[in-house]
Amino acid sequence: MPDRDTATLDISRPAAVITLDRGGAVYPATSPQWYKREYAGRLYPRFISAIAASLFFSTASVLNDPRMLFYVDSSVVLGAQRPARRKVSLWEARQLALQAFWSSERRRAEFAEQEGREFGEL
Amino acid sequence: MIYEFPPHTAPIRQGDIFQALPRIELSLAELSILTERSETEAVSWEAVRGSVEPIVAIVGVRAVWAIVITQDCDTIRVPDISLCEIKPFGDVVRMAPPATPKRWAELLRTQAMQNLKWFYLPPDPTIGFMDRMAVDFLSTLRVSRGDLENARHLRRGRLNTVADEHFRERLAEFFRRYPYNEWYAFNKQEFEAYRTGHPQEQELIVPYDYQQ
Repeated sequence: MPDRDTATLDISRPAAVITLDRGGAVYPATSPQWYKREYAGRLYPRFISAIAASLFFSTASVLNDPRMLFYVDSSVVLGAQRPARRKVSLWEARQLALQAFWSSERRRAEFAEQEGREFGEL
Repeated sequence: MIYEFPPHTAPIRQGDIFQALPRIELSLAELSILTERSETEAVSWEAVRGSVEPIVAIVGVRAVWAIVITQDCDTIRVPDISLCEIKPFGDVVRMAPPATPKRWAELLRTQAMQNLKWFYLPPDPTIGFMDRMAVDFLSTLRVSRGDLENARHLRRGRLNTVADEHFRERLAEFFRRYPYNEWYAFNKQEFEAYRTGHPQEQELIVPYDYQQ
């Protein structure tokens, strides 16, 4: 089915994760440690409302058909009161999100090249 | 029970159970995006899917329990680790809970063979499961390997050897499933009885020539 689109999600680096609090302020989470502080001792998943993450959609495609495959990357985040939080502008938030996106793309490209070399040596 | 507790530094393996990983939700019908001018817009995915440049969007996230499904030899090298969400048993299997241990045992034994969409995880306060839980194979998520390695403090444990053997079998069975016609060998009367018994799928249940 050539018109069938697929989308996949990816969590990128916590350092580039963006949160949006109830008042609409934007924060990056600069350390994964907030996970530990936030969830230590809790037994069940916690729903976090009004969270903004950066989600990236790229139409980088395979088979030269942009409709065939979409990479959807995201850097996420959750969290409330953390020392690692700081306010950023929407512009900065967008830049952090894009950095996370390209970082993930680069990692996948490097892995694909490594796989190619290994298969090439067979 | 069926869990073991590796040291914090242990490599990530299939069957590792993590607490509070982010599961992202978004709507293709109405997506909130952040434009280059730092403005927010609500758009349909259809309207922006042709964009060459990445799009930054605002999405909802829920912290969930999850179990690693990527196999061991890949978890040390691939860019991304795949996981399945872990949910309370009652959220995965919507039914009145059995009243007796005997009925629980029968349910778990038979459902494990008949319904391949989930994998049972018994309660164990040590790992953080106060109630019965289940791996929902229908709900998958993905985390970059580097991030997950840095978040190993969120790993509450892993399946022990026996449980992992069952888990990998169920996992493989689930992802190798494909649709097929159960009625191919029925005679006409058996076919009609089968179709009558599946009212919601009648349009898909088409007889072969020899069943008409």
